[in-house]
Amino acid sequence: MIELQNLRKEYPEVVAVNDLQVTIPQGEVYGLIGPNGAGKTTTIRMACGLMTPTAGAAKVCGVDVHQQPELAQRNIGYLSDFFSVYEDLKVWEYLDYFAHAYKMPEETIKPRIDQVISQVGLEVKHDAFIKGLSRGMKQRLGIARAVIHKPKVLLLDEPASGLDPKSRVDLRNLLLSLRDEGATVLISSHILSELEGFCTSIGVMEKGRMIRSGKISQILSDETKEMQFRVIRATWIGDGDAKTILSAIPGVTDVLVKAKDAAFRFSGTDEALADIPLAVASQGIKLLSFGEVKQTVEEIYLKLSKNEVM
Amino acid sequence: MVNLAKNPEFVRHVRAEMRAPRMLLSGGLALLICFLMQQGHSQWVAAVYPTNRPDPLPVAQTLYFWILCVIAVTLPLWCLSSCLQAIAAERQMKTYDFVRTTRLTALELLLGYIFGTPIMAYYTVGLAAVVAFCAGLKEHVPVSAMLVTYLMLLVLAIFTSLLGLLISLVVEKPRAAGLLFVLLFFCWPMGALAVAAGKSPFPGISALGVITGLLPFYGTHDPSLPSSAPFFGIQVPLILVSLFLYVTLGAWIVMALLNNLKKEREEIRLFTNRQALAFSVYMNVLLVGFFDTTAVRARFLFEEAVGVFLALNLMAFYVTGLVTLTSAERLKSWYREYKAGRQGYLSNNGLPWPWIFIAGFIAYDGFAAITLLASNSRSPNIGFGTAAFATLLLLVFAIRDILFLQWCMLTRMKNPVSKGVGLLFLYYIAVVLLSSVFGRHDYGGKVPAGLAIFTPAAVFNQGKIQGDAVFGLVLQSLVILVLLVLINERLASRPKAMAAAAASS
Repeated sequence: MIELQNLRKEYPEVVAVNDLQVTIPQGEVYGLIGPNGAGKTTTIRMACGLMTPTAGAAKVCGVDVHQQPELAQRNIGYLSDFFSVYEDLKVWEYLDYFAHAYKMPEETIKPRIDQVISQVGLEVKHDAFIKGLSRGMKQRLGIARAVIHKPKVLLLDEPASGLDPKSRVDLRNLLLSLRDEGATVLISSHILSELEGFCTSIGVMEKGRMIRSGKISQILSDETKEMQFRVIRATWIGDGDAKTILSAIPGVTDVLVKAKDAAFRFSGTDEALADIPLAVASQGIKLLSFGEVKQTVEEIYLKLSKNEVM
Repeated sequence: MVNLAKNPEFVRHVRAEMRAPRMLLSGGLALLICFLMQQGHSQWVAAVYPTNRPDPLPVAQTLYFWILCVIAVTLPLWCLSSCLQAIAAERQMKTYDFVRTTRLTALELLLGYIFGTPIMAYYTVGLAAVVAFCAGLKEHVPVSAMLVTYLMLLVLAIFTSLLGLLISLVVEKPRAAGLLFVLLFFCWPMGALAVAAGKSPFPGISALGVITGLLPFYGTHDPSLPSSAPFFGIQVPLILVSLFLYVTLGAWIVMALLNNLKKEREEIRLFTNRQALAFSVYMNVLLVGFFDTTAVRARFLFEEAVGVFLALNLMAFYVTGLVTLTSAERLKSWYREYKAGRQGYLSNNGLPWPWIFIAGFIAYDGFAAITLLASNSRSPNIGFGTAAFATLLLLVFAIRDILFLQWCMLTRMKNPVSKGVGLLFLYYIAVVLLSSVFGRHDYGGKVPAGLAIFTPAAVFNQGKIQGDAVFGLVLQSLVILVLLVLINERLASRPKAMAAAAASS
């Protein structure tokens, strides 16, 4: 659905995006994360045809956005971080302009405008002038604009910037519903927790290069080949003994014992993993809980990004 | 999309601008001004002709003419100022990106902006034009004259709108550039009149002034002003030449806008290199077409015509050079391809100098054409060799300046072209000042040595080659070589991330 083939953008002194190679299949929600200056915005701007790449190609639904821009734009909805809207238009006029600009069939425009206005909760402002709307409402109107033509692909550059918590939840719900309808979304964000539970894949960019890309589950398992578990003990022997017991189990490394907790990494099969509680219990240790300590996107990002400043 | 009513960009402007209260207010204001002018006019006529008022009044004394003067100044200026802000303001608001990501074509956007942005100007001035037309009918002003005047006014309004839109697209802060064009707006009719009155060897250029061409329609013919101009030997009414000039010049601006309306500001390039050469051809064809051999025979030295011709071609060289300047990104990309043997010097992304050089050949062809035309009237004392030297000298200076700008573009300078142009301007001012302060004051008809060496002024020395100019040619050629070496060094240096990636691998 979105293919970035050796995408590259050079400036006189720096390579902003360095031979990026990403394929995002249909229905995927791909989160692009990275520090400031990593090349996220440049990538999104090239993907939606706003910026011409120095080399490489960006294809959306099989159409090269720079070779056939008008055709490609039919499938693209774009939203950037900070933007304005035409203050001297009414809400419906604004959406009507973009519906016509996207060359939607005339008979579908009015019902679609009503539909998106209700989707973003601006029904009561249908005939209001935009200059009278609050900032959050304008942002919602911007989202309505981005989806007015039912794009198959949404390219969102920090869409939640400047939104209040309620508008963020609304945005998240709207994007989830679009995802459920089969839209492919490429979203960049600094707020990593926002991407969690929403994105199906992520790409970590740094200095113009993609340092890791793939399904979140895959990256999590790749990054935690040595999985981390926590043992909460009811009875305990000395710390040293606990460490000895755990370290003796095949596949267990990096054991850390602290107060009533013990953490360690594990690499091995699921069967071997299931044997660990038994092995511990056989040493006379009673377990209160034993489970995987899930890593967050943020933790993975920090690990991958070599602690670059966000 | 020619149907404006279905053009979303046009409809957006109409919706935003033409709200009923605003229409009532500005329409009422326009009619009020017309009414006040009518009152003032009738009192003035009564004061000038207390008893024997002529019927009809001389055109310059009619109410039609009074209102027309206001319209003629208001409409183009209003169009220029509104279009100047059209794209720049949208960029500032960050709405232009959304327009660019729609399916609107550059042509649809262009039509929407050109006719939509100044819609209030067309509406308000249109009301005044109707009043003026009615007044003109009552005052027995020829209908054909009024219609032709309105047509030319519309052409001028569209032309200034195009100009405003182009500035808005290219310049970051278009207000300053706009002020410059407002000044030009007032200067060019006067300049054109001066050309017409001075019986230039290229009289067609005076048609840019429009007014001269309109005079015959009102039955007022000033014998000192031409009513027609030669175009390849055929006398064409000046008003047709005006129409031709504005339509063709407007077409070049349209081409530049269509090339760039949907591009990022940093990626804007008015013409492709081939289009820039076509512009050079266009200018030379115009000049050859406008060349008045009878004027050369009767009033001018051939050298004077050559001076005008070369000066206009120098402008064409700079236009070609400026539009063939390549962004650092594309130039570096070209350099890699060039080094790999996949692209040559005549690439669209290469250095500008080969293209300026070709423009030089075109200018020389134009020069040959006017020399042949003039040879029927008198034996020109500028030979082809001297002309070739003059063209070469102009080329060397144009190439040097453009390569300097190209080098600026490869540095970290912000707005490199504007700053580079500023530096060149300072350079020329300094040369002129130093030459006048330290140079000798008696040159025996020669151009001062400083000017001949450091500027292309020696070209305009009545067709004579002076030694200083030859030295200047050699010196500036060396400067060009130095600039090429500096540019080459910049192109060979690798960007940071690339260098880091190479080091890590």
